[in-house]
Amino acid sequence: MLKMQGVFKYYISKYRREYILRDIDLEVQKGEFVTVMGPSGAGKSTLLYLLGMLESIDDGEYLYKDIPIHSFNDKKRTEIHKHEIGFVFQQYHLIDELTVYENIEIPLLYKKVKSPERKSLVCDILDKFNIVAKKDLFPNQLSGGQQQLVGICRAIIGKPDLLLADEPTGNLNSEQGLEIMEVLKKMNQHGTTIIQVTHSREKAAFGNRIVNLLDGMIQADQ
Amino acid sequence: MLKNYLKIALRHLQKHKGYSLINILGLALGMTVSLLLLLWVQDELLFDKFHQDIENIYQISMYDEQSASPSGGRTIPLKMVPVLRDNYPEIKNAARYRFFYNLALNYNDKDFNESNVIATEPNFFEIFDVEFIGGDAATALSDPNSIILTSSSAHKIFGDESPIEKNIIINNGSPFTVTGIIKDFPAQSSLNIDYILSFAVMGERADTWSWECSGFVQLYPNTDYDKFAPKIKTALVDHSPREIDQDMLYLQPFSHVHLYTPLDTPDGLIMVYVLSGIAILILLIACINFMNLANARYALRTKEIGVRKIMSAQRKQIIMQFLSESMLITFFAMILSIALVELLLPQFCQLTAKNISISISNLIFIIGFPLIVLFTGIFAGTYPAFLLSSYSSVQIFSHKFSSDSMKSFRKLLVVFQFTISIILIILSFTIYQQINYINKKNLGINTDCVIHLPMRNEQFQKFDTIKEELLKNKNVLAVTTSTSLPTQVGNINPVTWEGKPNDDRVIFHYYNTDNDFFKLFKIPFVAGNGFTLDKAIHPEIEYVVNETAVKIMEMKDPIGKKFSMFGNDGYIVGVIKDFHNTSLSGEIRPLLISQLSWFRSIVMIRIAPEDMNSTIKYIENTMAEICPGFPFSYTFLDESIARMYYDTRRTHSIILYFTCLAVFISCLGLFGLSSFMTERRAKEICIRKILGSSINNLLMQLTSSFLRWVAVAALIAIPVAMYMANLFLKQFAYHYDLTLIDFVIPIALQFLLAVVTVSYQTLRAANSNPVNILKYE
Repeated sequence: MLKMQGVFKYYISKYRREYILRDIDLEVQKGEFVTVMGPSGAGKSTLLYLLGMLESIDDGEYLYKDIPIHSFNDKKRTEIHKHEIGFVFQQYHLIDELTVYENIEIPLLYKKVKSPERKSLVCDILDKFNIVAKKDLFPNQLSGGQQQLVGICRAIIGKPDLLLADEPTGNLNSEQGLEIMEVLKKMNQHGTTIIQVTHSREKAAFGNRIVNLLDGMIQADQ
Repeated sequence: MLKNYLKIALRHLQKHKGYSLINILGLALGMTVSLLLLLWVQDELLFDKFHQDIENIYQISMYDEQSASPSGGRTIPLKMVPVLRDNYPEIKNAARYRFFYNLALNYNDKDFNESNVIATEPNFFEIFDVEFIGGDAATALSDPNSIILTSSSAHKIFGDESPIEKNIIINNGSPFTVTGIIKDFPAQSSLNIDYILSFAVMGERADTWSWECSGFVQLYPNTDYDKFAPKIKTALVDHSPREIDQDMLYLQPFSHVHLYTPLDTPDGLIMVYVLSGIAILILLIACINFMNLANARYALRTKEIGVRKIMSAQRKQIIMQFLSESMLITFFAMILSIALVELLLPQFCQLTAKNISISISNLIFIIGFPLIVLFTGIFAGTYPAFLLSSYSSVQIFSHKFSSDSMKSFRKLLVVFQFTISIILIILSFTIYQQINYINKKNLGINTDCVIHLPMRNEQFQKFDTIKEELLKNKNVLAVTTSTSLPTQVGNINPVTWEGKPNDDRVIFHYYNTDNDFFKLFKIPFVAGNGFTLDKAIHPEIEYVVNETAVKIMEMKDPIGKKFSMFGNDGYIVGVIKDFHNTSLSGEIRPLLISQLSWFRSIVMIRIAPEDMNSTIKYIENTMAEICPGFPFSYTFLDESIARMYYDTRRTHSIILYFTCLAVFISCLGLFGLSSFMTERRAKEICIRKILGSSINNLLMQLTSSFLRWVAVAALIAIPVAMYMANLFLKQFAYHYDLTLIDFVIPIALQFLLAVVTVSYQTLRAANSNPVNILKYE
């Protein structure tokens, strides 16, 4: 589904290139649950952003569903973001001024889904994650685990093929973290390809493949 | 989608109440001011436009081609209009009219002193749109003793009675019959008329060439004015039987009468431009506030933008969101400002001496208001919207974007704001200085405790008796008469004198009075004396001239020289010291004084400062005893002089009020911005405090950046303000000279205001407990 070959990523700082990622070769098949691990500053998040096409690669080649992404224009990329990829963040990134319901609704608004359909989709997902009672609360009225659940709901309401999760349990206590991992595992079993970034071996065990990153290079892939 | 935008906007407004309040209030004030000024401008521009045929109506003006100054202005010879009517086929209609001032009206023993009275011809009603409620336009003026009333003057005199066919006594003379009632002239009319008499009251004089009336003509719609103008220019010269009439005739479009001088220079229009400019500037200041605050606040919402972008929002959708948000705030401000306009309109009308009423059907509300909202919303929302939407979500989440460009833009805007407010403060200070200068200026005559009252013909006939009686009171120090106040000599006449080198036309101002005039105003003689009035010594007319006149005539020894005004031959018997005989906006004019038996319409009396009330009561009783039936009214000369500068004063108070508002609005913005900045620097302030910085140190640190901006603004403002202030002062031939202090005080004021505004927030931040803030970091 995804294939990276010899990918480099660098930033120019004070006229010097600072490499974040070097010579990355990575192939992810449909239905896999990949965990990217590594210490802080290894380039895990950048790798995730590159895979999600939020940032562009500086060198090498990246094929998304066998098509090189440099052939995509902005519109096509936006289309892919809309329909095929979902994102989950460590800090949840919910909009504070919107309720649970409204936060989950945002992607559907941008997809221009009609109001009645939107309503039923949001209600379905609220029901599925057992947070119907919370739908009119604001993010700061929820626990971290609940906020992340909302974040996941928002990421998957558009039924993406690929879910990119950047330390989804990083801010949660262990019990909440396990719950979230269970949710992700269940989704993977229903066919969603998942790539997550984490520090924790325990959380990595939920996936079926671990990629180890150190100083911008892949150390191990098992 | 829009619902989602609005929802989030509303929740933001609710969450940051103080910020929302400053934003909406500032914007509403700015919009209110610009709306009020727009209403004023609209009112000025709509003047007289209610007349259907305004494009074809002209006011007759006269000017002197050689001396390039108006000789008659809007005053023309009585016979002019009939001559025009008979000789120029392009003229469809023409009407002459004459104003009467201080007419004493009496009905059922009730006295009224009225000034807006004209005598005119029936054609007047064919030219102008005047609606008759009672009586008939065609016949209402056919009898010489007929009078037409406006509905409000009819109500004033007759109450609820029907006025038609009732008699009103005018100036204690013959009765005038009410033959018509017309609707009041609208507020936007340069014809300010309460009573109309028949022109037949002029009697046989109407057939002479005496300069006593004004006139309007109405041309046929297809007349080419440019071709007609040169043809009619020499109308007076061509038809006047007198050789002396050299004035050129000029038709001024009636639509220009309100905003242009008789010679068509757009004096009034300049004020329209100035106030429109101020309206735009104040709206701009309010917009800048909004923009700056929005800019600062939106920087806190980058996370939301990042999220939305990841949720695949397109850039234009984000731009739309922020624009609709600023529209929403502008909309709230608009609602508030409609209420404010409604509330402030009476005060504004008082300030501008106007009668403006607002109705929802006014174009300003239908078109102007939405335009202002649209402009403000877009102007204020565009920059932050475009800038913020340009960051990618990754840039936002990894904090790899800089808001430096925003910061410097913000600085630029604040400097701009300060510049405008400093300019306005300097200007309003300059006008204040000029008014002070006028008040303190020595006019060359002593005007203390001088009152003046109108005089009617009957009183003039018995004036010697009146004067004698008045002077019996020891508190009446001197009495004199004339046709105008000595500070407003308007009458001008061509003159010649012994030894005049050529035939060039020279015009002097002429003042008809008597010997007591010099005594009353304590005017010293440079040479000669007052009038001897001894026909044995001077069988001809005696003239007194001022120093300026002597200078113009280049006369060595003027006393006894032959002198003639408009064919009235005589001698110069005295030269007086110059005094300011017109408004201070003009130079001292060459002045000619004589004592002719012509009618004089005002009495001037100097009274002792003690016990003035009883002196005035004595004057009233004496006048009533000798000539009963005339209402008594008097004015202090100082008051009348002050009234000459009424326009300048009014301009000053308008500009002063709006300067205060502009400064207030920009301070409001500064307050918001400083609170935001101290909030963002809270952590820095705490760390500095922990490291031992004193409160004074902190205050200096935090306010110095704002003060730097004021300093830059002052540098930009000074040359601009200097140019504009000089432009204003140049209108006055005698004016205040700008000094350094006129710039130092306004700038110091602006500094002070900035410091006060900023200190509140900084002091609060500097006094806060560092632990409270760092705990949350």
